[in-house]
Amino acid sequence: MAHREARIRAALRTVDGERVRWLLGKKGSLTTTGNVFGEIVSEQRYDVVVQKAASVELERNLLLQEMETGPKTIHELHETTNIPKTELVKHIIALKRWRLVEQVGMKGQSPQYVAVPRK
Amino acid sequence: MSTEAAHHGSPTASEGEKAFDPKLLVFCCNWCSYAGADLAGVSRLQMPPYFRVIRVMCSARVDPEFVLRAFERGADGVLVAGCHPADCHYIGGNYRTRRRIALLKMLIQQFGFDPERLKLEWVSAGEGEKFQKTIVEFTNTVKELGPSPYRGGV
Repeated sequence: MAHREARIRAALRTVDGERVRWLLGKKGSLTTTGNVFGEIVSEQRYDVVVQKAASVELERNLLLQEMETGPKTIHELHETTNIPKTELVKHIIALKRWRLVEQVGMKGQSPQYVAVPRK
Repeated sequence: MSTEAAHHGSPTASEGEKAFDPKLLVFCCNWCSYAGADLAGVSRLQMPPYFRVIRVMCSARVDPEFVLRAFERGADGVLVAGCHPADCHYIGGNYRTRRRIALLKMLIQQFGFDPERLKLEWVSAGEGEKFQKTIVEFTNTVKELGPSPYRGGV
């Protein structure tokens, strides 16, 4: 039940998030007039992109929620979220790049990450 | 009438001793869809009895959380009914709803729900028949899909 609640919270953050909102708002222009380079995205391609963005954002928000509760290693995150470790590493790299998480120490030989408090 | 299929149709996805009665939640906007639902009732159009209507002032009032919570608490399907595009009482509420529902359809797939369990339909105040038809079709769709994954379905 707690896992389900966490997923719902993550989904709500995803809906509120900039990335998917921007993609949804740009559907008309991307599929008709195209992007700034004049490249028109087909409806099918657009659906794939939004689907992927929603899926990735959901996972990242789930991870952020976990890391807001305290420092976590990749192994601990994998145990609580069931996201494959290879994907987890990719997410952590992206989140670090956006300065949403930071490394705070080591637990044995594993680095621990924590979410940067939101302003 | 097509309602017969809904009332007496055989249980589909949950074949067994007990027929599957879906729990459907319908959000209706105050200005169009709720009046449409009212018209369907006043016109005595037959509809399956598995849905509960929640009136909201605008379809854009339907927060994504409402939909996710509905599924979490055992709804088998959620229907959001709003004014036709360009007819929104609040100018552009239904456009926002359209985007939001598109995103929610993608998100509920991540939760293991079929996107068909969430539906958006435009129903105006004069379209009682359309409301009835939408409810019948949606009920049949959800019956075919079976119980929600959170109620032990797949």
